[in-house]
Amino acid sequence: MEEKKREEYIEEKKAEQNLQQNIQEEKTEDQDEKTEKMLREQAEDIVVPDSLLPEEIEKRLMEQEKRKKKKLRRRIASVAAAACLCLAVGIPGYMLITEQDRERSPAGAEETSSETTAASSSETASAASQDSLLATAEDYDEIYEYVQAEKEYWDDVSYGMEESASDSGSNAGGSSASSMSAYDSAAATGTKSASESASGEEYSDTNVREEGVGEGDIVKTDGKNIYIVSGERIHIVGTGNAQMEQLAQIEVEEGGEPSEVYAQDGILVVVYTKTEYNDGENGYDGFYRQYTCADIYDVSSPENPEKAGEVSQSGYFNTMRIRDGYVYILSGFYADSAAARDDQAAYIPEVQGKLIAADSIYMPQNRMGNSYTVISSFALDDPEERTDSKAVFGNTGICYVSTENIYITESVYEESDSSVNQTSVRKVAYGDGKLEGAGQTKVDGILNDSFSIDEYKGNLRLVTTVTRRSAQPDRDIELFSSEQTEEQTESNSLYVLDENLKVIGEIRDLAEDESVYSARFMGDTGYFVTFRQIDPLFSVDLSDPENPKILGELKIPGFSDYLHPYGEGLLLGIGMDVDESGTTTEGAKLSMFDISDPSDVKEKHKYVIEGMYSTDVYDYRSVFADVEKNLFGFSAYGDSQKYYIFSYDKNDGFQPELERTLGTYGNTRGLYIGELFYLVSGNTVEAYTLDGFEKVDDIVL
Amino acid sequence: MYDQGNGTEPDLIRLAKQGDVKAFSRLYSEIYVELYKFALYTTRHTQDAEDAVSETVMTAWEKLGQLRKEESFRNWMFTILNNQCRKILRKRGREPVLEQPEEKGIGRSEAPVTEPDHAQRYEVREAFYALEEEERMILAFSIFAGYQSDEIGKMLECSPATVRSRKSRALGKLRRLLENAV
Repeated sequence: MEEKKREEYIEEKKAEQNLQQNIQEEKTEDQDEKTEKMLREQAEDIVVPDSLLPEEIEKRLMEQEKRKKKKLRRRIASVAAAACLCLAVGIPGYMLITEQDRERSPAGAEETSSETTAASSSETASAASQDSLLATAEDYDEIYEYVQAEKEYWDDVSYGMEESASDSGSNAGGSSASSMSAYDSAAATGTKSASESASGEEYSDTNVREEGVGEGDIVKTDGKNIYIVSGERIHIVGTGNAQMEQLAQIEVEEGGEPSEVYAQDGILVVVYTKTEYNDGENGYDGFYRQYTCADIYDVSSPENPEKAGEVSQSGYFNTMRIRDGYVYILSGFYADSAAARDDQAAYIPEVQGKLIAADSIYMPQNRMGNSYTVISSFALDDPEERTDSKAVFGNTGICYVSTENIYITESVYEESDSSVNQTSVRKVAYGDGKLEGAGQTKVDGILNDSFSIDEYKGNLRLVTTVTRRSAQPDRDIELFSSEQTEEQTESNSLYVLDENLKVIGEIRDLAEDESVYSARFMGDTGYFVTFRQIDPLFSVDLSDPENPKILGELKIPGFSDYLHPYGEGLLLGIGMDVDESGTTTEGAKLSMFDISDPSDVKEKHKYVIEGMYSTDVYDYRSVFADVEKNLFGFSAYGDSQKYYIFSYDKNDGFQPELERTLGTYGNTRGLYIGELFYLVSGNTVEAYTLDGFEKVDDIVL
Repeated sequence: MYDQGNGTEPDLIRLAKQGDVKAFSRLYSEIYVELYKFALYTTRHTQDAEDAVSETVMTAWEKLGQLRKEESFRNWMFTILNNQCRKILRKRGREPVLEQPEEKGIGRSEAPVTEPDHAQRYEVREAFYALEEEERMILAFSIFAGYQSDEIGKMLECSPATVRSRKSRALGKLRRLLENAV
């Protein structure tokens, strides 16, 4: 009896204690919140030192950029001096290089360039074509090791970062080619952007990178309707009747963010990224996971879109391509380097909820990596029947898709075994929905965008900007600044790789101290623009892939961000006009180059839109260009965003057809169906006559 | 359509990567106050904080090419700043707890003594400075960088659960320090 009471008493006491503890915990949480709030409030009046104010920082960076330019000039001079010494010693191999050099007709300004070529070629290994096979993973364990290796590497780098803070980098007009995604890549032959709809009306398709390879975008048309991504919705706007009408709206799954749509033959593909939060095992180790999903709709009756299927894969959306009725979706997946080995879903990507098999995962060259490009394909008319999926291990930079191959590139910085930045290229062959790893390689320098990489007759051509670091101390330079001991020089290279990604032809050390701003390969000829202060437009003869030759070099102020073939013997450049010091932009600039003789390219006409400080042409899909109709359009930004349409006259130059101030800043697309031009901006669509550009209709969504 | 037009972060990053100082400065202007506060609370010295932010900015400008597209500028800056602060703390080596931090350094930015609740504010900061380095880091990440436990865990290489418990412990310690001071 006594015993029993005692037990009861203990039980009661325990319960009470638990209760107290819970109350205590809640109290602590409460208190914690209050304390945090107090700390935040107490810090509110902290005054930031003047030296850290944005305008002061801006001044300092400007100063530094100026200094760097001076130093780079000095640097080149001293390299040249060293190179002369080398030449005096006389190594036979140089003959060949200087020979090549003569052919590129350097302008007077670079009297040092041939010597520089000799010097740097001897000290740098040529574009490595190491083990060019693309190996698949042995098992998930191997992948786990790679992920861990990557983590350790970056831990080291970020600790060591400060030490080398001033050495490298993409600065001042410098390597604008960082590892941006496929989104800003681009190319388009553009001349054939028109298609015909079922109703027989001509309409314009998205300005694509590669003729014959379809792309998704935020606005698409099938010649009858316009499909518009707007926030979390897809609007279907009918153009068939006298006035535009909103036919339907599609919403994606909650929490999904639509990226792009693609419309063809009564089918609409809506691609979106979905983020899922997983609570983890004990409620504390939660994490976010992203999936790229595609919903496929039957829009044969656009008022009632019917869902016909849905697919998903790990990672955030990168890009999509369509060829021969198959859709290829590329996403980027990050492995969680903190994951335990047995938590495979944290570091192996999934397709349709299933882990990709190890033998479908291609491994990187460096034995480390923490991200993948996931590629999967499905047929437009049978979406749920996945035809193939592969993951290419390694970071994703610019993706370029030719009619037969997907090239995934990655910029590599700070490799200990190389004094230059590099680009790794991984090639995956595709066709009829099937994917097959084909090879990989690495070249010196980095790509500007996807127009800097181009496949033609089985060969791959690349133009890169090479930043070379040299760690040796240089007295000459120390006079300028005490804090920097490492120096960098920029130059540009062009490579021709065969189908096995072996370098078969190259030109190196072009345009010292400048970097590529835009490029366009057109069959046997390539054009590219480099920029520092003036804009040389280089033309390259690639008809003999093993022996590419610089044909000509046109120097004009400013630069072109985007090049578009504009019919017989003409190349359109859209970019910026820059004053002579090379620092201030004076407006957006249009150039029409006469390329009828590639060895003697001329700027035939130019047109400056004053007061504009940038354009949206870096995303080639935002450019509207129809050479047959002799019209092109794009947005420029100044005090407001404006959409421009121009035509071109061989004698009178550029003719403004439309200048429309847009209400908001944002993505804008232009397209035509039949006789009308549609301008889609924000949530409005305006219709203009193609002939004369008179506004005839508008609709607010 | 997304408002990804000019002036949004991806655009500014793109421009900055091309060498546009103004674009970079606009990105910086959004976060510099928090960067400085973070550095001040972690290093405990105005001069060190100034140096840390300054170095961070220069490093970021030089290394902007390494900023991956899907990474936010803000997170990236805080990652660099965190390393700068740790480096400064390592350099300074083991130091006595609770020195008079505000008296050091040239760039004194403390409010004048006449400010009414200055005393209290001073105490709070002093108490904060008395915390251990990791505790300061965790709180600074949470308060000035707005990081969640899992993000802090990634930075400091421990599990979110550990971050939570250490954070709570640090806040408790701070309260006790303040109580004792009164």
